[in-house]
Amino acid sequence: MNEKECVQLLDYVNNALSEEEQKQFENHLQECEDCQALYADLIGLNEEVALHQGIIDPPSGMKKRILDTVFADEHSPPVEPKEEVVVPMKKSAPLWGYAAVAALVLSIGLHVYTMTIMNQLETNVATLEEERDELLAVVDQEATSSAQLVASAPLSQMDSDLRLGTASILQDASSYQLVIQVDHLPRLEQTEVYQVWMIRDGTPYPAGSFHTNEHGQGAVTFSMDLDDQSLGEAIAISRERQPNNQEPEGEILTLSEL
Amino acid sequence: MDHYNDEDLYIRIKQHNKEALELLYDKYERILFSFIYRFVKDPGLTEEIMQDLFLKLWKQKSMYDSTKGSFSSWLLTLARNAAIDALRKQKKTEYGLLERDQREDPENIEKKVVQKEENETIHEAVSTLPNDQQTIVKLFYFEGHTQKHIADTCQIPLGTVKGRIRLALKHLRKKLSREQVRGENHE
Repeated sequence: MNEKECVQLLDYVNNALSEEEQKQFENHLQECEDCQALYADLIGLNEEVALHQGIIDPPSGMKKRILDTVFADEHSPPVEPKEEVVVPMKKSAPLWGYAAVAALVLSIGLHVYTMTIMNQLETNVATLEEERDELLAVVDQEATSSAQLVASAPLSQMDSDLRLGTASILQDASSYQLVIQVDHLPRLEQTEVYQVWMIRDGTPYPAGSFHTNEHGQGAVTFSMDLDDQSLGEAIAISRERQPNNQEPEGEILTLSEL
Repeated sequence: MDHYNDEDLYIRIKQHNKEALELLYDKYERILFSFIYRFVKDPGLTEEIMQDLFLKLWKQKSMYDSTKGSFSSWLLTLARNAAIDALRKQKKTEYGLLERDQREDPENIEKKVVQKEENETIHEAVSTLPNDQQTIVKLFYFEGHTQKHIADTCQIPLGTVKGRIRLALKHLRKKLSREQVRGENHE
């Protein structure tokens, strides 16, 4: 038994070793009975806990969301834009680059769209997302370069499972576009604004701001440089008394990992 | 597809059988949700972790074989690893932003009470341990800290952490298995 290697067991169980250290320890584990015994006990604790734990009900619809995502690559039909989705912006797209179109569509077009057309549709996030995807697909066709979805994360309310919206990062030839889309945010007072933050290495950086309509819906897109430094690890949205703060001062509504 | 065991389902999942994945999901959904929730205490994050887990299973990014023990044991280990990783990442992100917002509002307190009821058996078993063992179980198992962090926090030599965990584990498992023998149903 090599004391120097045995001492890694706890960190191995807690996934705190580097890949190389892990491999080294796994080799040691195959030969050390002492470690094998304690390892088995520690792993066994998982089963004991799972066996005796109180069962907590998952949020409704979770199974569908998860399996839909898992099976998503298998059979996603090509996205076909609907006529009513295209109406606000097809006339204004042609000469502008992707960024301008996206910004226009999403901050004005979608706003108008949500207030008029959305009133006729079910205002839930799933539908919003579908429409947004279709919108983006149409914009995509108009643009000179095609944008790719790099990352996407649901935005959930702090301490609850209420889904407030979605953050997506698209990439085209010249920039990253952070697209925020929300539903269910509280109404704002006169001068208030929702501000989006990109968290990099624990520090929040301003990444756009927006208002919501009377249904609590809103959208914004924010351009970032096409370099790895732009992308952080999380997105937050806070409610600010005035726009253009350099750091969040108001209440944070959602903090979601990318 | 009525009486397949986990290993059978896993083989079919590897062969890209969707029904098999769904069956496995149905079998483990509530167990995994409750288990992962115990670590991260956030339903949204728990769902994300479960999604990653099933994505990994489906895309075969993590491979199971019988040398790794039982399938359920392997699945739970994966789940706990993912939960611990998420906790670690969360700590990095939250620092600074959330410290300002750390006020105890009544809703939060109520949630903690509800959680406590859910955790009753586990919570109870842990609370029967001597204080220093309780702390070490919390730090090591539920929060996933490194050996060094535990040694520093508890102000004990690095070398004694393992022994203390071994002892705590022995008592805890005895307590839990006694619960089972009594035949109490905590679901």
